[in-house]
Amino acid sequence: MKPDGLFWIVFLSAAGITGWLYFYAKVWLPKHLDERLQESVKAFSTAVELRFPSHAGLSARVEKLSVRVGRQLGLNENQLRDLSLAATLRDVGLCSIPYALVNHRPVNTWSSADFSTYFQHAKIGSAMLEMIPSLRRLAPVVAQHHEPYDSKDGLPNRHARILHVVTDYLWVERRQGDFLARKHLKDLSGTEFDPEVVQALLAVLTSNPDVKEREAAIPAL
Amino acid sequence: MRQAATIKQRQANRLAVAHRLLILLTGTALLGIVAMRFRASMPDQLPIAAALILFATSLAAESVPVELSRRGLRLTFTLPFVAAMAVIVGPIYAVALDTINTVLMATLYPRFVGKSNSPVWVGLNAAISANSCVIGSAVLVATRNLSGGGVPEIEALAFMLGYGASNLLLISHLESVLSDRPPSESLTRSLRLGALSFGLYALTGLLVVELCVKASPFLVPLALIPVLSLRRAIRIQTEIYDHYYETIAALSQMLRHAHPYTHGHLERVAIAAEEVARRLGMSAPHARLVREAAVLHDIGKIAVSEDVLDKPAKLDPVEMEHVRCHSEWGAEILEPVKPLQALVPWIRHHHERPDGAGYPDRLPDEKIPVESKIIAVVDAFDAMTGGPGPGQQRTYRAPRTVQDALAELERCSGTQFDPQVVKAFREVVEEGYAV
Repeated sequence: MKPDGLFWIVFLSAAGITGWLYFYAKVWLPKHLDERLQESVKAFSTAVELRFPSHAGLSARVEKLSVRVGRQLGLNENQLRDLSLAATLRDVGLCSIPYALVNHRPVNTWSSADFSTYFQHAKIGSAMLEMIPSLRRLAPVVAQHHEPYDSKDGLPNRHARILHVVTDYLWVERRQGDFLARKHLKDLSGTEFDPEVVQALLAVLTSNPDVKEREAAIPAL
Repeated sequence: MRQAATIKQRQANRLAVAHRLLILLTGTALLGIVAMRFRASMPDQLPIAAALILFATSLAAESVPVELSRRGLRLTFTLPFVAAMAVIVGPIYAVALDTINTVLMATLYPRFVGKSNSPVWVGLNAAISANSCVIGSAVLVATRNLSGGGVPEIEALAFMLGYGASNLLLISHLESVLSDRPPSESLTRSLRLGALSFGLYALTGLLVVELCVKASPFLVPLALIPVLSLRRAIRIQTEIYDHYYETIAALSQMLRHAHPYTHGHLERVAIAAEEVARRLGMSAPHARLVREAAVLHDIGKIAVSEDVLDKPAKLDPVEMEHVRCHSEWGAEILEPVKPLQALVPWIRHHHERPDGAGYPDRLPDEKIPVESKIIAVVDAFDAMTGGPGPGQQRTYRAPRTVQDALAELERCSGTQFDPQVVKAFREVVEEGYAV
C-alpha cells in the first residue's frame, strides 16, 4: 500500500506533538524542576537563618560573591548554578548545632571543643543532602566547604574551595573590615586557601568593590 | 518491636499475595492463548522483516524504563510496537513479544542498575503483560470481526484500548493489594499518570502501524523519537514529584536534628490528621496536604532554642514569647516553596483558638482555617500521649493514656479546639489510627 491521506494525517500530527513534547521535556520541565530546587533550597536556608539571626543576610552575600568569583574563574552556567545552590545550602547542617552556642556566646569565648562542634555542620549538612537525590551532587561541596586547601584528606573539590575562601573573607570582613580580611586571605593563600581562588576573589573585589553591599551588611556577632 | 513484627508480617503477606496472583494470572493468560489459537486467524505468510524490526524496536523501548521509585513501579514504553505486532503479524506473536520483552528486561535491567529482582516479580510482570495482551487481542479480534477487517488503524486502537485498560486495572489492583490502600486511590493515580501519555501513545501506535502498512517497516524505529521524548518528560515529572516529598522529608529532618523529641510519633498522627480531613468531607488530595501540614506544622521550631523547648519548668514570659514565634516562623520557612503554598496559612494559624485567645493573630473562630483546627487537635493529642521511646515525650508534662487525652480534648472543645474536629478525631482514634 502507498501512503494515503490518513497516513499523512497520523504522521504529521505525531510529528507535531512530538515536537511540542520535546520542547516541553527539554526546556519547560527542567526549568520547572530548577524552580522547585531553588525554592526548597531557599526554604532550608530561611530555616537556618531564623535559627541563627546573626547569620541572616550572610548567605545571600556568600551566594552573590561566590558566583562572581566562579564567573571570574571561568565556570560555565551549569557549574555556576550548582555553585549558587551550594552557597545557599552550605549551612543546612547548622540546624543541629546547639542554639545557645551560636546565639548566646560570642565566638571569642568558644573552646576548641565548641569549634569542633560547630564545624560538624559541614558533615551533617552533607549527610542530609545525601538523602535528597536531586541535590545529592552538592553533598561533597557542602561536606568540604571548611576544608583547608592543603588538607591531608586530599584536595577539596573546586566549588568547596571557592566557598571556603568566600565565606572566610566575608566572616572576617564583617568583624574586622575589608583590609584585614584581604590580608587574612593573602597570608593563608596556598595553605588554607586555594591561591587561584584568592586571586580571583581579589580581582573581583578590586574590579567592583560594591561598597553599597558592604555598608548594608549586618554588624558583627 | 510491634512495628517490626508487622512489617515482617506484611512482607510475608505480600509474597503470599504475589504468589497467588502469579498462579491465577498465568492460568488466565494460558487459557487466553489457547482460546486465541482457535479463534484468531493466522496470516498466510509471516511478514518476517516487520516482525523482526518490531521486536528489536520494542526491545529498545523496553530497555529504557522510567522508575517510579516512590510507587515501586517501572514504566516501559512498548505498547505501540506490541499493538503493531498484533495487527500486522498476529495476536499470538504480540503476546509472545510482550512476554519475552518483559521477562528479558525484568531479568537484565536490575543487573545493569545493581538491584535484585526476585523471580516472583518477574513472573508476575510477565503474567500481567500476557493477560493484558490477551485481552487486547480479544478486543482486536472482536473489532476485526465487526468491521470485516482491512482497517488496521481501528484494530490497533482497539488493541491498545483493551491492553491499556486491563493493564491499568491489574497494576492498580496489585498496587492496592500490596500497599493496603483502597483500589480507587491507586487507580486515580494511575489515570492521572496515564492521561498525559495516553493520547501520544495511541498516536504513536497508529504511526507504527501506518509506517508498517503504508510505508516501509524499516521506518519503524522513527517511532522511538516520540517514545523517548515521552519517557524524558515522565522522568523529569517524576523527579519534580519526588523532589516535593524530599523537601518535606528534609525539612522534617532538619527539625529532628534541632529538637529530637519534636518529631515523636508525628508521622503516625499525621495519618490520623489525613483521616480526620477525609471525614470532614475534604477531597483526597486536599487531605493529603493536611497530612503534610501535620508533619510540617512545627517546622518553625527549628528556630526556637532547644533549651527553652526542653525546659522542665514553666516558661517565663520572654521564653513564652520566643516559643510562640514558631508558628509564624514555620509559615516564613514554607513561604518560598510554591507547591506548599496552601500550607502557609494553616501552619501560621495552628495555635489559634475558637474563643479568639490563640496566637499569633488572635483570629475569631470563623476565620481560622479548618485545616489549622485539625492540626491543633492532632498536635495536642501528640503532646499529651507522647511515644514510649526516649526523646518522644514532652518534658513539661507526664504522658497520659489515650482515653485521658481524648477526654481532655473534649473538655477543651469549643474553647481551645473545634468541637466537630474533636468529634471526628475521636472516631478516627477509636478506629485504631494514631495509637
